[in-house]
Amino acid sequence: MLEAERLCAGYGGAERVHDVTLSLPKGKLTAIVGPNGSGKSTLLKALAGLIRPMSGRVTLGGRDAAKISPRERAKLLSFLPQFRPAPEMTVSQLVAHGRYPHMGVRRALTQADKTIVEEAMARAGADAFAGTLVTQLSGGERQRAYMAMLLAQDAPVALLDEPAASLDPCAQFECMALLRQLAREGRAVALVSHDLPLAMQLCDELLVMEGGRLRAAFSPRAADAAAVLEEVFHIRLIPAGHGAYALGACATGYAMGMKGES
Amino acid sequence: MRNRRVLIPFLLALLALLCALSLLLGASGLSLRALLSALTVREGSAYAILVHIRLPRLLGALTAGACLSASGYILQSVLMNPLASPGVIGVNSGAGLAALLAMVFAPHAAAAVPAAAFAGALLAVAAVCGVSMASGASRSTLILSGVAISTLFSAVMDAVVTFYPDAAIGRTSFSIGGFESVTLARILSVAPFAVCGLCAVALLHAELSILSLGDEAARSLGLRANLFRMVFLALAALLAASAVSLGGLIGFVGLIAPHVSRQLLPKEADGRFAVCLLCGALLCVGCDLAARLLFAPYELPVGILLSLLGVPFFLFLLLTQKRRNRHAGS
Repeated sequence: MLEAERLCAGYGGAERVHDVTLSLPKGKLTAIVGPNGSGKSTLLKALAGLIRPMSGRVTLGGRDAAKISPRERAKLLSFLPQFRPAPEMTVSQLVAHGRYPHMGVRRALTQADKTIVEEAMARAGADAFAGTLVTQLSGGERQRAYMAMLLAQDAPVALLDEPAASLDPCAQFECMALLRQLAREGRAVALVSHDLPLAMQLCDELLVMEGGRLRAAFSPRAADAAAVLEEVFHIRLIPAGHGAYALGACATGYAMGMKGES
Repeated sequence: MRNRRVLIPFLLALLALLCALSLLLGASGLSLRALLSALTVREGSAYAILVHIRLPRLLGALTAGACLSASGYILQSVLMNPLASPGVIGVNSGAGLAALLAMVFAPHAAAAVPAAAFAGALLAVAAVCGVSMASGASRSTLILSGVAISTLFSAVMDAVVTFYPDAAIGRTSFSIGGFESVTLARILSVAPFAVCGLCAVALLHAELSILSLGDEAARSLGLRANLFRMVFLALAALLAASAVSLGGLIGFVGLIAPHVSRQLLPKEADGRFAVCLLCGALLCVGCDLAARLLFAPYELPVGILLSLLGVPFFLFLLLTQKRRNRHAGS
């Protein structure tokens, strides 16, 4: 659904992502992982069309993404930014903005739009505070509100920059499970994540970034997955059963034990 | 009251009442009967006071209030900064300097003042945004660069007055702000700019709301964020310039009115712009009326009254902003 071919991207003339070729197919949940500064978010923004590629190209549904108008692209691709400000509006008004790419000249919501907005809020667990001002939400609630806006956009490709950041462990799991469900419905879903055990447990594919390059792309259940991740992150992953991993210890020797399934 | 269907008619009724009082009350002490008969006879001193002094003054206050509040509303949304306003970020002083230059070098060209004020406001917006973006685009750098640009423009205004002493005659009232010298001709020359600017903001309200979500979210929703930001900053400059052309350097209306509208209508983003315009108009008409009546027959410049209201409000915002940031960070 979304493909990148020899993609190079960066900011202010400094290239941060080098020569990345990848494919995000329909029906798959893909996690982009890598150490800090490895180019994950830059790659995601280049895929979303938020930064112009320095070279290479991105295709969306077989079309050159650079030649698709912003509004048309927003119907095909939704993006959850890492920075989620708190504007002076209610959650339902924020979520309704997800319908902007689908609105006509009068910029008014149709009855169908309103139904989609309500369903999106219910699915993201934001319906309980639909009438609350975004400025009055906690970090986790705000994340749910923005997730609902992404759902209301109803695009076949969803890219999310650290969607589970600022959530408690249970909400993180729910968020990832929702993304997995979206993928199962036929969407191409990719997210940047720092939660390696959760990404390994729930994602269909891992794209491992290192130094701005795509180091590896594999299923988390592949035989060499843990070995590559341990090398890139300088950590030890402990098998916790049923294909799940717990974080063992990092190279500094600091213990980071997590309760895993046994 | 926190429902636009109740609030907007209430504010309109309040504004209508203030407008009527503004036409009826003044230093000349004309009776209601004299003013009403002047309207039918259409001549005499009462008619002249009504049509040539009080009416232009009222229309000037209404237009300037609506324009300044709209300009503040735009700037606070686009720059995602609740402290932004045409006065605080230097747009008013940019417009003021250019308007002063137009008064000095083209004293007989009525259209030159609003056109120059618009150019000056646009230059100030470009300078403040350019400096703050180059230095990190944080909320505080925006305000600081606004203060710096304002100071610079004020210094240039002082220099202009030094070299062209004739300009000092109107300069004092211009820099304090007031509507006593507004004429119908001036209003007619400014009205097209003001009406076009206000209509454009009303039509593009959905885009303005989306810009307040930040650049990445706005662009991911299909909005040409850079283009619309430029359009909105130009509209903010146009509206501030329209107000400066009428009432001089009136401060704080653009800061206060958007905040009051958010307090009055916190959950209805759709009607908030209209409420903001009404609040701005009410503030200017109300302060102008108070400035005329408080120490009659002496008149207090309306800019002084607005500053007396605005400075404590600005300090209150700074304090609550800090508290809100701390809450958001916790």
